[in-house]
Amino acid sequence: MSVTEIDEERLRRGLRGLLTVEPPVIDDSRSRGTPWVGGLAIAVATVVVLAGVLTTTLLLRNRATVGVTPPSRPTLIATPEVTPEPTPIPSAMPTPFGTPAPAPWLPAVGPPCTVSELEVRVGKGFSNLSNGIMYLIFTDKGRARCALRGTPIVQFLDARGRVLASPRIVDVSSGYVPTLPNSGVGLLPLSSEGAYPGTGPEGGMRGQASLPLQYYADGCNNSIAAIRIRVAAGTLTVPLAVSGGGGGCQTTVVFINPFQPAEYEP
Amino acid sequence: MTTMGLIETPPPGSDDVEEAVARYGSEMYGLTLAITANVHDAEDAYQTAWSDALRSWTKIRDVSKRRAWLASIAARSAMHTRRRRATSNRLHVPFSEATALMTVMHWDAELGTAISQLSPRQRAVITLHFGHGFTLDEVGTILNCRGGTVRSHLGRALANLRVVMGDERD
Repeated sequence: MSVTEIDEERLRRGLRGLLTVEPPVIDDSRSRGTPWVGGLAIAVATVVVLAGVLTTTLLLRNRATVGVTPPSRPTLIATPEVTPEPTPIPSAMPTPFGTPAPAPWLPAVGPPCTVSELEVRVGKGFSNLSNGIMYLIFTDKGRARCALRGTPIVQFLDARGRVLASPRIVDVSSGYVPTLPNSGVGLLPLSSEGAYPGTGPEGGMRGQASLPLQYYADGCNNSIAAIRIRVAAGTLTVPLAVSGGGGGCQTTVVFINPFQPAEYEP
Repeated sequence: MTTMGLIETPPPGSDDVEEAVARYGSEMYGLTLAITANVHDAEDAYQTAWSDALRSWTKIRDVSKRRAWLASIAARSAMHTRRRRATSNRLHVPFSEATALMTVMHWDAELGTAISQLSPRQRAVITLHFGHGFTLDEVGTILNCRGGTVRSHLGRALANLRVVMGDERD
């Protein structure tokens, strides 16, 4: 039996990853201490209401189908048949009739992306009220597919390349802008040049990954010059200017979310 | 202000339950996952923890201590669930590997396997210290034990991890 030194950084990274796992939705009735009888009553009432709505919808749909005096104006119930709810299939991938639709998001296939095959750039960002979000876009510049998983370790640097203690970076699974729960984002070997369909030149596209940084625009600290992201086999550094509500102000805390499919727009 | 791992005062308007769930939910769930070492018990402990927290929500007036307070509740709930599981495991078949900590920690399954073999108290200590970033004294406050006890748990946890991970490489 050999005794191995525990790499504390590995332990820290592994456990920090565990603290970003998407939690289950809180059972509200349990939190409020609702007795089970009350919960049962709510469930029965919900079933009854849903059954009523379903029956009414089916009746109205049958009337419209057999051509019995169509309503003079479009009704709320008829509307979904005219304009069906769009599915989350990316518009960048037109589906020929008769062929299966592509998966909504690329599966996380391949080994973890390494520094040598990644390119990172600042994507779009916006702020609203006292909240802001900025996306970093990751492109696979290698020759094979790779995947980015979880939340990377991120550091802010000043102009001399020193790590800043503020803003503090906190890992959270979501934030003011919701994120897509995932077990990894698949990247395709792509060129980051060219068009970015659907989301404008600054957005991301299918085959790329994004990293959301969310913050409260409630403080000022203009010393940030770059952001460093740790991925497999090294770190990536990108010049950065997080704009806050005060125009160039930096915040005291930045919430970093897990990697997202770059084409995902909440 | 530097209090229990939370360096700055939360922004105005964040002092409500939804904000706390969004901000600390993942951390609390991760802690329950680490202590119970399986998804089913972690979800149960997580729900119970929020239930307990909401019952005494107004008791914690200092918002800067909320993170540690919630961690304390989550740890207690997970320990309780774990004890209950230890009893019921004599009657029921244990959960499958698909819901085990090593599967959840897919980014480092070897580490997940090693952590699973620690005691719940050791898992709580290393998660609060290395994961959350609390100091050992803060961990002691959260787990309601003395700093020396925490250091002892941490030492044993690291020693056990060395042995387990060394064995796996052999």
